[in-house]
Amino acid sequence: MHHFYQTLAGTALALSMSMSASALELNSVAPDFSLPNIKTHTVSHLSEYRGKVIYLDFWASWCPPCRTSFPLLETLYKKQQAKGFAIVAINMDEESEAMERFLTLYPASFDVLRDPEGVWADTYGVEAMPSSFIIDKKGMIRHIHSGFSKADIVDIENKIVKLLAE
Amino acid sequence: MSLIERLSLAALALPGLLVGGEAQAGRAEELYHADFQYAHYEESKGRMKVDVFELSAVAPIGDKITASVDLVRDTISGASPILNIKNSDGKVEQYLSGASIFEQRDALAVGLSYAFDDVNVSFGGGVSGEHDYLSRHLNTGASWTFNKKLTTLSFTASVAFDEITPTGQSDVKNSKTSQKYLMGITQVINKNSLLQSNMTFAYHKGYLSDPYKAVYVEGVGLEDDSRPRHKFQWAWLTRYVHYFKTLNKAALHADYRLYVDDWGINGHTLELSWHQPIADDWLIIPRFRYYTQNEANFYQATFDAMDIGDIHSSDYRLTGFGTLGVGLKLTKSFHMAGYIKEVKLQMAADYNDRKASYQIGGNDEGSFDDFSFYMITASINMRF
Amino acid sequence: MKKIILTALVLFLTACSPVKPWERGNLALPQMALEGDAQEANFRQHTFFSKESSSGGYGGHGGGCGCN
Repeated sequence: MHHFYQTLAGTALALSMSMSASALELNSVAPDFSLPNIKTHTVSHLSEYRGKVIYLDFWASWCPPCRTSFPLLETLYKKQQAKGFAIVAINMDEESEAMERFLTLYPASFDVLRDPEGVWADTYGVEAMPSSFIIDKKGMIRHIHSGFSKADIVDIENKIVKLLAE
Repeated sequence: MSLIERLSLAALALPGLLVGGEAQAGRAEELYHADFQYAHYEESKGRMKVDVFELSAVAPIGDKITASVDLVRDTISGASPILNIKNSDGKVEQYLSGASIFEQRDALAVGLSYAFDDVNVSFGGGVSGEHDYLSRHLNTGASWTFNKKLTTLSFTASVAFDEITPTGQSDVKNSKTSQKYLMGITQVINKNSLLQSNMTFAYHKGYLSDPYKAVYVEGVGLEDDSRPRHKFQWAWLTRYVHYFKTLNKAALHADYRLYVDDWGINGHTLELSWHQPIADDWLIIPRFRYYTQNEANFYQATFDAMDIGDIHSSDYRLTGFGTLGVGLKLTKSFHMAGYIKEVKLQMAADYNDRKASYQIGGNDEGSFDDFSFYMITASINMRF
Repeated sequence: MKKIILTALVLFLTACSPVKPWERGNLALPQMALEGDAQEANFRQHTFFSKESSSGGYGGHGGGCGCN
């Protein structure tokens, strides 16, 4: 009887763990993506941002913490843009219409790209929504963050300022 | 006025349900909630009427703690069944209380929840009172999300202490204690479907009869309603939600609950609702409900000297019957970018018909305690 | 009997297709919420519980967008 439960628990655990994706390691090279830019209507590559400190954000219109993050990120972007800071927000909505409605309420002057198939979210090993990757001037991933709370913006700004000084 | 009816209104079916649910929603978005609802309940045959006013508020404290408070005021009036009698033709008739009773119930509940990485814990308590009834409850709960956030296990436990001092029976003071436990699992099946299955266990001890009800014993007279001093209840609810993208993003909700208690009652509940988005941020929800139960071991419409025992009741809630219900709900949401992020307006109306003949398997008891009731609700929800 | 239910549950759970975190948009829609209106749900359950003998089953968290 005891053996039966052990086997069952083991099976459940093994099967649930087998679906894990692997997030990228810190201090590894950020994969160079090519994704459509909703403003320029051309394809943007990560390599275009080389030499800048990048906040790469995977977000979607249906994600409540994303609503919290956008106005705070917009303020941060305007403040640090001139010093070489860039935000690249990769939208994961299945339909762009939902993204448009979100951007009407929470406008962004930073770059917004589209990855509805989830190809690059998969490559970056996104495990929660939203997920952000702070990339330094040399294209290395220096910080990974899952989720978003209002208080996070302070810590993010500190990290950005440090990397801009490098 | 039936004490059991008012006891039921007073004691939350699952204390902390509102608190727990809202608390987690607040944490995901760190927003303040303010919700106000007005509800009206009315029975046929000039029976019970209830007006309910409820105010709920949720506040995030930092990014891990959520506090909530809930205030309710019920105003209850109308007639209520006391017992059944046999008329001169030998047919059973229900006898209602003559006077129109007026009663007011006030309740307050508070709760606090803390979010760890994958675990959420909550505590809460509350008190509810009317002139002849007082209830105090405490609850606690925990939920654990794992398996890439696709599975959530939930556990809650609550205890309630009730005191009854029936009107016109001032030397009588009765009490009862209740414990309730829930364990459940919520599982994402695929990107379009969700399943939740919960089991609850409840144990009640103390005075469980209704001091305002009686039974008619042929050839003898009237006796007080007398039920066992303990009750064990078990329920298993399964809820399924499925998304239909091509039908303008509609969702089907289907719930089934099995109920068994040790008074001999088995109940089945089936609820279906279709959530249909129409136009911008409008949602229309038609819904259907079917309920059936059989009678308690010690229930009889009327008794005679031969079949009356120590335990006996003629309460219409303990007999076999079925209820068919239909309803419609309409909601409209406004999403804004200012201080107030969202305002939602909701209105709903439901009509329910309770008949002995609707019981599954049939029922030849007669229609003496059949009645119908309708409910109307209107509410405003704000997020800021 | 317990063995059958447990086995069925585990098989059922593991048969579910893995949903990526960014694929939860549909589940996060208001029409997909298990409890879209807690106050109304409470009122309905109170009403039915006071007119019928059945009660219980409601409660529990999960589903939705899985954010944070």
